[in-house]
Amino acid sequence: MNEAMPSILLVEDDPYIQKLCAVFLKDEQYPLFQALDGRQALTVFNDRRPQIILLDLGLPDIDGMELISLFRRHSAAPIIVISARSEESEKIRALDLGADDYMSKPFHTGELMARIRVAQRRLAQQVAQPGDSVFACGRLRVDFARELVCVGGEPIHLTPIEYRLLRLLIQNRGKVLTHHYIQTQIWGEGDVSDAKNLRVFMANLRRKIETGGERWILTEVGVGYRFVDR
Amino acid sequence: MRKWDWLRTVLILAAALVLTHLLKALGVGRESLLMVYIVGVLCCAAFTHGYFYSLLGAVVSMLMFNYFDTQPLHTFAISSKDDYTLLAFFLIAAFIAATLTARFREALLQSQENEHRAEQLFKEKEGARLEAEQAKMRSDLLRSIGHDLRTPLTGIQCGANYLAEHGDTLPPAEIKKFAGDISEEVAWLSNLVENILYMTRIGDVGLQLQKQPEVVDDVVSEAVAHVPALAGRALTVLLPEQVLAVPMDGRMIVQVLVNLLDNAVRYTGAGCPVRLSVCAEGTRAVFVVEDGGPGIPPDQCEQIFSSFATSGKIGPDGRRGVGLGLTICRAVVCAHGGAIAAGSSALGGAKFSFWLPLEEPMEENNHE
Repeated sequence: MNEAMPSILLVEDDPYIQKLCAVFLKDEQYPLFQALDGRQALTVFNDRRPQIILLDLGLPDIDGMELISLFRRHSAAPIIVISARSEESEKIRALDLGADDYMSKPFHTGELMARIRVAQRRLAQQVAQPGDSVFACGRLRVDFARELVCVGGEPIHLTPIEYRLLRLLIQNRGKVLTHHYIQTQIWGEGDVSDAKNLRVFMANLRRKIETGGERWILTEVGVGYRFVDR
Repeated sequence: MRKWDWLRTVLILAAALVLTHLLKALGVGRESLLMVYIVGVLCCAAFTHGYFYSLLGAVVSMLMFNYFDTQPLHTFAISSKDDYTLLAFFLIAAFIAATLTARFREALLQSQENEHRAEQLFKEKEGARLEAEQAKMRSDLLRSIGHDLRTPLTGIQCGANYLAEHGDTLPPAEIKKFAGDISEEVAWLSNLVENILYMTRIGDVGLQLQKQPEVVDDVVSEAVAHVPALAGRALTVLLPEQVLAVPMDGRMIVQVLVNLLDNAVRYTGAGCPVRLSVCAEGTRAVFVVEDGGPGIPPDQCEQIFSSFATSGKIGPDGRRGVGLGLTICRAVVCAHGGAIAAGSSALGGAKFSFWLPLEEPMEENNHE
């Protein structure tokens, strides 16, 4: 079972939180590397190549944002940012630099574990590169080959943009996509539609596919959207 | 201003000189020409400061009349006794007129200045009063924050201490209960800290709301997700039929809704329904949170937003409401240019409603 568990690098300067998280992560059998500052983190990263990175942004020596770019230069490992500041601009910057997810302090350990499991699944997807042309979960079924979306067995009509939004979200499920990223993906860099349009398209899409009380698209207000990964 | 007095005097006198020459060419008599000079002197008095320029104007006018209009012409000599008298009385009349005008002008300036000074004094007083009020509010706020912070901290400390000392002898169920209590206190504390942080952000003079058009659906679902206590409740959410985007600082409005929903849950019994509805009314987006609980006494509907006395009160389920919550709600809504009010709900309990300006009307966005 241990072989299947991805190794985790935990970068956190607070020893108490470091200790607590280590207890939980070891309980779950994750191989764990710990770093109390940016320098240690880089050393461990270079020596051990962890598969998932938990990164506190407020480190004493190196700016967390810089670390994200450094990690991203050499690895596609999911990065989950942990931050004590709640400014949206910081979250957006971290995500645009390549982080996959973020959590604000204080958080529940259950929440942290759920995010790690999502990262773990993304990792599995990266390795397998699934050629599956159908996404099915709960009442929602999307056939990418036929561009057909069904909720509870009933086909749903989506406009072309709504369909592309849904496809983008499903392809990146579990990951927070910033408004800016979605805009460039859907409308292209040169033709970034205004912020309101994206939100309205997304709201219409949600109203169409979330009819049975199931929630698929989670809004990170002020930051972006995330497709639920169960 | 004073540096222009010279120029004004010269211009007025030159105008008088030109006018007298024109009138003379038309055959007007000398006595009438003196009247023109008198008017010139009066103008000097009216448009310059102090006596100096009007007196100077009087003397120069007299000399000009003497030079151009008395025999022998183009000299300062005077041959006729009539002219002496004329000039003497002209000078006297001009002096009196100039003095009176200048005095009147000075009195006018003085009264204007007095008025201005009184206004300034009033403003200073008003500023001091406002400052004192703000200082009082700040100290009230700090006191209530202090109370709200210490209470849950005490709970956490006691619980944790007890666990640390007696954890090995306690039955597992008991340990679990203590840990659960601590976790609950912490959740309450977290929300309070969040509120305080928003309060300081609003308090900053240079607060810039990060306004973006947010869709009501998103904000509402985010807020509902942040109030776990809603899980066991009969919650009804009514959203506008058409997707509605409202310019707002999304996180702040989420916090407002969280505070209102949290209050609705904490101050009502377990079976009480809670309803959250949003609709567009003209140029406003109206948000309403209501419940079927005991409601708010009518005389307290205004007070609950400003007094911090409500914080720390125990609800019917034995839990505290979020301290400062409503104060922050009002501050956030006002910063958006909207308003918030409390009242009675058709559900039988309390009703909190606030509106935000829509600014731009929503257009149909399904075209591609």
